[in-house]
Amino acid sequence: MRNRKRHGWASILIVTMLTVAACGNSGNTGESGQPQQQVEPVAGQETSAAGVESAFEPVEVQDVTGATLRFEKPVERIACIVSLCVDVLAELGMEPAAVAEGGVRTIASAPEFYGSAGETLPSIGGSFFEPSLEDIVTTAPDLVFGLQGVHDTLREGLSGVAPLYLANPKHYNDSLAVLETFGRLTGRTAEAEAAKQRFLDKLAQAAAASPKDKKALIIYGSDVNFSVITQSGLGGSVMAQIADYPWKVEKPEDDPYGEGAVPYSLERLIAEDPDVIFVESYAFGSDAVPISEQLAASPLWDKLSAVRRGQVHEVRSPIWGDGRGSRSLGILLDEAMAILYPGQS
Amino acid sequence: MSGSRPYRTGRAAMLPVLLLCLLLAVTMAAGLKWGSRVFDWSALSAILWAGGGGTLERTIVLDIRLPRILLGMLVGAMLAVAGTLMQGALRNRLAGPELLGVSAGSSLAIATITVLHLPVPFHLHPLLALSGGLLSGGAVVLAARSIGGTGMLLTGMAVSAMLNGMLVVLIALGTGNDVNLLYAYLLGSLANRGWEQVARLLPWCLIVLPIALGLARSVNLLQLGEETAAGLGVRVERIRLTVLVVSALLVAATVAQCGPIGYIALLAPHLTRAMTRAQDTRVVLPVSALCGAALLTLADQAARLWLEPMEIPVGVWTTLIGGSVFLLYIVLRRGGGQHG
Amino acid sequence: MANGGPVRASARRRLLLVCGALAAILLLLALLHLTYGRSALSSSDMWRALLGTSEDAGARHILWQLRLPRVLVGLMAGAMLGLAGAILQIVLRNPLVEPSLIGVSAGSVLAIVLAMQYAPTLLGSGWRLALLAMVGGIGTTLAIYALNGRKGNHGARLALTGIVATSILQALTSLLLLRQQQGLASILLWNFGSLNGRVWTHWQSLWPWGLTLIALALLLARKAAVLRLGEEIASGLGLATGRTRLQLLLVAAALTAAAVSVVGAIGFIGLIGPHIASRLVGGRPLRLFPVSALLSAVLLSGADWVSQSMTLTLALPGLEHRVSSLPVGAVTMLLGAPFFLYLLRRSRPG
Repeated sequence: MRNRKRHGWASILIVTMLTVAACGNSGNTGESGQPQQQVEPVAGQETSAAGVESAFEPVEVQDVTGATLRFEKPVERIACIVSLCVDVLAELGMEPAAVAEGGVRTIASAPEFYGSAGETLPSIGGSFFEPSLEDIVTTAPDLVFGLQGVHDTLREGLSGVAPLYLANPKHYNDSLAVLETFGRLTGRTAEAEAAKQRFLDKLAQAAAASPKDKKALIIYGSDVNFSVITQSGLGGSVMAQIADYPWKVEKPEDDPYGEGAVPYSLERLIAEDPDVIFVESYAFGSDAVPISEQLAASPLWDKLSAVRRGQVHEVRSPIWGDGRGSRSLGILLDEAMAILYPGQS
Repeated sequence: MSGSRPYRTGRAAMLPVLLLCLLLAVTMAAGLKWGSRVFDWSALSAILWAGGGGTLERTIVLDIRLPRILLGMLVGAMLAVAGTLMQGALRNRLAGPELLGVSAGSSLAIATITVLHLPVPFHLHPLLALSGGLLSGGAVVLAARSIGGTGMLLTGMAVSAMLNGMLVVLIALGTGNDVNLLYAYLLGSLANRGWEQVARLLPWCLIVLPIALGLARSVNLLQLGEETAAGLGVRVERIRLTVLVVSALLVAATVAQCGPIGYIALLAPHLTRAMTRAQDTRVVLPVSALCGAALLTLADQAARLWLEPMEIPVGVWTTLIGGSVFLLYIVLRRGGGQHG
Repeated sequence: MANGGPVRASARRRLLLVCGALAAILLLLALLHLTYGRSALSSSDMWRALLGTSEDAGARHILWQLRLPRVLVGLMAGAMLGLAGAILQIVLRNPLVEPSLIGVSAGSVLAIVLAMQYAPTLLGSGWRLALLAMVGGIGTTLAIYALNGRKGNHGARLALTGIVATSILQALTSLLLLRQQQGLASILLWNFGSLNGRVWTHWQSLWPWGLTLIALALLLARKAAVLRLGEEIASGLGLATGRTRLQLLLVAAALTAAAVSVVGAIGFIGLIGPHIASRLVGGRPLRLFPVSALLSAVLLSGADWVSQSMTLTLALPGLEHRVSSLPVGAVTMLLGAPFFLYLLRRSRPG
């Protein structure tokens, strides 16, 4: 008897709670995380009223996840939590409103980008994977630019602060598309077009000038624990234009997310025997033993002719690996051409 | 123990031993034959025995595939021996070397190097991993001296958790590429390892494995119960400590070269006991070494060949398959725990 | 078994005292978390925002839209994990068990990773994610329970099967993650638990489950008390032990799964909270459950505040590393493990 009564209370309780939960949540499904997200920036809401001097028309763009972002006025303050953002803004001639630490600040401080000015840009704390939302709020940006696959869960946290634009280019054409999008968003379409043309010209020139008789390889890691950038990776897609780049996986769906870096079979490496090996590293320029020597000390890697001939070159990982934008890819082209075909202009 | 028992046990163990050797031989042959380039048997035997084949073929077979198979055998044997000893000495069929916290220490060392991009030359990485593993294993074993068997397991758990916490901090500090590399290490892999790694592990094998075999008799007596063993003149605490130290050394050496590979140490002794129906550690120890070698080699070849040319860390397979087999084993036995 | 009058009254007084103290600490911690923090805004700014007299929209936003839901989510998740741990201590008869031991966390994580891979649009709404995680987590627990058979679900056997199942599920998750290396680190960090970016939508998806399940657990506390007396005595008293154990397990699994779906698999909270609580008020479920919920809420909030306020800077050649808020799972493990060791030493003199 008592048990049945208690069960009765329990069921009523459960039903009540679930109803409340359903009501509470249905009110939210309009706001939370649906693909149609329309968010106004927190920092002021000026509609393009009688301002006739600006030729800027309201822009609606979609990022790679399908979320729609709409802007009434040109975007000026952009918070960068991924290196691609720094690259795009540098190409457009703008400065980020704030940058995340780690690799993003490193690329911002690189001489080809903002140099020493990059050291003093306002900071977004937290880690690369979990940037500090509070710092983003304090920065009061118009737009936050992140990496798809890493920062997706930030969208809910940023609602009411600023819209989140996510990108993850898998091919250099994707990078150029992002550049164009941001040209439209910031009203700097001329700069975007110029930068795009610069890169395409450079690519065409390099492709024409290269005899494509060298086989290249881009890796990162150590001698036993390394990953190979494959053809479907961003760096691979560019490198394939100027050199022989045969690294690929059999089934495209095994090539994760277009990052294009997989642990690769050493047998294939030795069989293909690349002429030049580029190793993405962060310790570039330090006093450490160069990677070429370290690889030469390994009996397996020593079988590669590139290692024996000293054709192992360290390259800057923040730019080659994390850059992802047209300027970084341009630097990749320049540096690779200089190493692959020295003596060609 | 009557005089006829070892004889019967020895006979019963013959069949499983033969089967395991057969499995090992088949795996070896398959491993040498298949890969990015498939050799036919005549070419293979030419390369192996007659010094034939071109440079590339010889490199692939003799410098890549062959040492990898041998490495798998060595690592599997070392892990299995460590597991058997620990299960015997702690009188707990679920004890495994991961409880010693060795893997956590090594993983932390490698994580520090990888994520912080410390300028450490490649050939020193395993050495640092070894020191990290020995340090953390040593801390846990020392704790065992004062707390005792079960407490040691819990201490190992706590030390592993603390080191994992530091690992998480390091992951938070890193970038995408570093974390991917670290993850591949943390799963345990035999890829890209050659004669260098075999040469580094061989001394450990040659020195520590005989010691382990020598401990087998004492571990047998320990299984009779602590009081009985003490009554028979066994220095229980000292033997237990020696067993823990030996296990830690074996595991640290393997983790330093290949990362933490799970479930071989736990599963091989169980399978051996089930197959040979023996409880005598002097029989179980060598057979489980063979079993571990066979299991790991098989798993590694699967990891190498399934998504060729992409390499899957072998630790994923050993956990998936080993864990499932173990789960079935527990469920089917309806016993579990101390003596089941 | 039946306590005398005065003893019971003093135990009740003690319970009220402990609960009151914990509630007060909770309130203080919440205030601390809301107003002090590693942010460009000073604490006086935050106090003004709290009291409604601030003009700064940014400070108001940080307080009401970022910190307050984070604090609330932390409290609720901590309470749920602590309660789940307490339930498991009773069911498994072992003071050193954690909610992840029955394979719930691994099952929830696997369900979520599967969704991320094959149905990413599903993850938009918070409540669907919680539901998915619960399906994964409870499904795992049921599977383990079924595997063990009717008679096998006690103490060591269940824990053992749970551990093995957890590692298998984690290996499956690893296999899936290897194919999706872009988001690998995020999933790893989330696997260890984090409260970063938890806003009102997360709270909305957490609190209904939390309140319902906590209420359910408290309703079952009386049965748990009988179960605690021992298998034979409990069945002698007319309790269906198998069914009660299953119910308790399911509630614990649901609590853990719901918490995991929002904050990730935070470790050690479900172990330390109930452990300390049992020292404070003893092991009787009617007292243990509320106290361990409150205590774990305190611990998680405290850990979250610590993790928010710490900055680590490492200047090394090539890349300056700086992380200025750790995931809370790291802090619980870094602080929890030594504390756990200390508890071990205390419980075994010599």
